[in-house]
Amino acid sequence: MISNLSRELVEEILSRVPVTSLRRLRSTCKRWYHEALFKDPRFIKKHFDKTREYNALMLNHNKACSLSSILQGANFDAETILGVDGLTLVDPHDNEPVDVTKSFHCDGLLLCTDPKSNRLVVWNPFSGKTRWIQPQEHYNSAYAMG
Amino acid sequence: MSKKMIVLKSSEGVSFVVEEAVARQSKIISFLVEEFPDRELPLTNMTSEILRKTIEYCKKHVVEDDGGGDSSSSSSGDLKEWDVKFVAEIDQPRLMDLLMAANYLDIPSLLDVTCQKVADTIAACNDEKEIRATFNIENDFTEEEVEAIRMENQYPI
Repeated sequence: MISNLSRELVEEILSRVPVTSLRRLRSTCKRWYHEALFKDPRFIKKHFDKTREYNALMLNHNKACSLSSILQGANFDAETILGVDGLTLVDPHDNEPVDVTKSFHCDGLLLCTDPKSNRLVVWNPFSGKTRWIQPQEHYNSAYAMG
Repeated sequence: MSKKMIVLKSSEGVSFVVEEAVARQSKIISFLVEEFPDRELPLTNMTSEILRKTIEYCKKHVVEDDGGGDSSSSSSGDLKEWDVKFVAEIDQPRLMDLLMAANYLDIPSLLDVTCQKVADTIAACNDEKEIRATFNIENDFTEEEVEAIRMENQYPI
């Protein structure tokens, strides 16, 4: 049982598991749903270093996809890729998918731009949490996250 | 010249005679051998089965490590292949025991392959039901909680 292992060993294992699978694990039971590691910035950094999941990020049909998830997909059919590993960002105001036009990565978080509403959003694809930012000016300028 | 041998004893009291170079891949054993030479080392929290597996791994790796340096790249590729096969043949509960043994004995490469195997097993599951079945996890969510999580996971699966 993984849950019988020490925190150190759990961390060693989970830092090698892709984000989509970590989300599935989190949905299995309360113990994993409340796992403190998933909110630990040190773990998030370690996970990123080990999996390099968002190292190469692609935008495919306005969805953010990690290049590794695409390369790992046995089937290169776009629907399959997007269905399995493409992460859709949903606007909480109208429940419509956001057309992400640009995306940047830093330590497991994505900074995405949404031209429709002229807003920026910091998105944690693992927890699904978002923080929307309304820029002062039109954001047709450079943005960085660090 | 005869190779130096040491004796490792499992939790059931079974003795395993191992070449010192093989056993020294464990940093803990390496330390103990220097501190207590010519002593039998009791590994009271390791079953004979897991100790045998651990020794099998160490034997394979010590042979490959001092293989003389020729054709080193192909032998390291072969070793990787051997590792994959080695962990693939072990069932889930024993894999966990082996992982804990690698941690306890401090054998980094064995810890690495066993952790990777568990991670790959989680990644190979297509949904949370499959993860529960594979790792014997009980679903303790209420129906309302399941629905709340489903809403939270808004991505298509």
